[in-house]
Amino acid sequence: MGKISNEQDKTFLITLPGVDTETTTPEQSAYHCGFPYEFIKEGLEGYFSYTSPPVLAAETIYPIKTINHNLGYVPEFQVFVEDAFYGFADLFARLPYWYSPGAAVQLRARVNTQKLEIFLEYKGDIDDTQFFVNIKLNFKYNIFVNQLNSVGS
Amino acid sequence: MYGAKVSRQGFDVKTASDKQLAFSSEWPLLPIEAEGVFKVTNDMTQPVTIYNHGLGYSPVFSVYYTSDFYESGWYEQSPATFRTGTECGVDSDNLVWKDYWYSSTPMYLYWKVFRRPITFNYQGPNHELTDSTKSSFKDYGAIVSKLGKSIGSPDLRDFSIRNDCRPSIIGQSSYGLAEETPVIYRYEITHNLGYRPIYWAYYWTAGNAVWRDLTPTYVTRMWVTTTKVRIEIQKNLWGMGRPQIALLIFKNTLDSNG
Repeated sequence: MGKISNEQDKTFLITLPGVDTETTTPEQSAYHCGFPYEFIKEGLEGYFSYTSPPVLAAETIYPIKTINHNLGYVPEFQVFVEDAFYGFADLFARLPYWYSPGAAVQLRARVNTQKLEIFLEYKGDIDDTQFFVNIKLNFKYNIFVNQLNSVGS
Repeated sequence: MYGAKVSRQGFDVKTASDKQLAFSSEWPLLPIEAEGVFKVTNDMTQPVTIYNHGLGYSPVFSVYYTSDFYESGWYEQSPATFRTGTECGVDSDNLVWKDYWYSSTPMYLYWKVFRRPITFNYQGPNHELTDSTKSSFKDYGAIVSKLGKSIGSPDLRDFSIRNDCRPSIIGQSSYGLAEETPVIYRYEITHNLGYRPIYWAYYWTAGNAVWRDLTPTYVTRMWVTTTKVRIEIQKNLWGMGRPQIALLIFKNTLDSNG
């Protein structure tokens, strides 16, 4: 674990506009062969809508979407939600995301070697029939090629 | 003016929009400087140095966590303040763990430090904002393998550029002291991308002295439009002083398949 880059290797580098390749730093490079980068596999990003159930049963987890990535290792990911609950347009959040303590609703995402799961966790101890029900939410997910737990290997 | 650009698979490089590119010398990617795993146990007292990056600036970072205390075999992102035991931050020397952990079952934090300052104002140009149509014309392709890896490898992890993948292209980054009103702290930037972009956000306060991931909650809300990103923090619930905010804007959308 630790440093995985090698900035001394300048076999192939491309600088940002106006930067000399002889004096560039990694921060001034558009590409530097001494560094790995993050990227998303084609087909492993998506956008979809979800409507919360008409009743949230006490202390219940509701699956929102499962994406089978089948990479065979644990990949990095990110999931964003367009949050319509408060009635504002253009309000976004990256998961995990939770609402005010009174709502007791968490939106979470987790990954393993086969799939990404996005789910709603209702932590209230009584059923919710009027607060976080029938709420339409939009989600965006990215699954990266990069291994989440590679620890420098 | 010289330059290089590579379109993603299926898009004509001459007409592809900025976000349909796999690479362009116009904009930086996000280079990974270091990565590792940190075991959190209940006998630790924060702060604990996870990694001495020694970059001389506070770098962009990300953290995921897993623990059998919660769920075996599953990993989640760990924005600050969501799950006890996961909170980290960076300063100009170190990535540090700044939390507490109460279980005898350890927690593992998987972290990455990127070669880019959090406090860096950058405004990349917007060239082509209108998407071109994906077609089936002959695709020549462009791939660059990592050092020591074969260009013929079937493992996508062995590459640093592939035109059949989307990289994290940085279109803009910005930081500054949040504006203070009687009720909220506010930070806003204009991007003019014409779509609502993916972003990462961090914050710094004098009391913390490290940069942390800015966790969106009912206290910290983030609005993203086709022209702007705005963060609002409710002062009475925030519990900390006036923050500095930093934003990274990527050339990828929040509201479409990309």
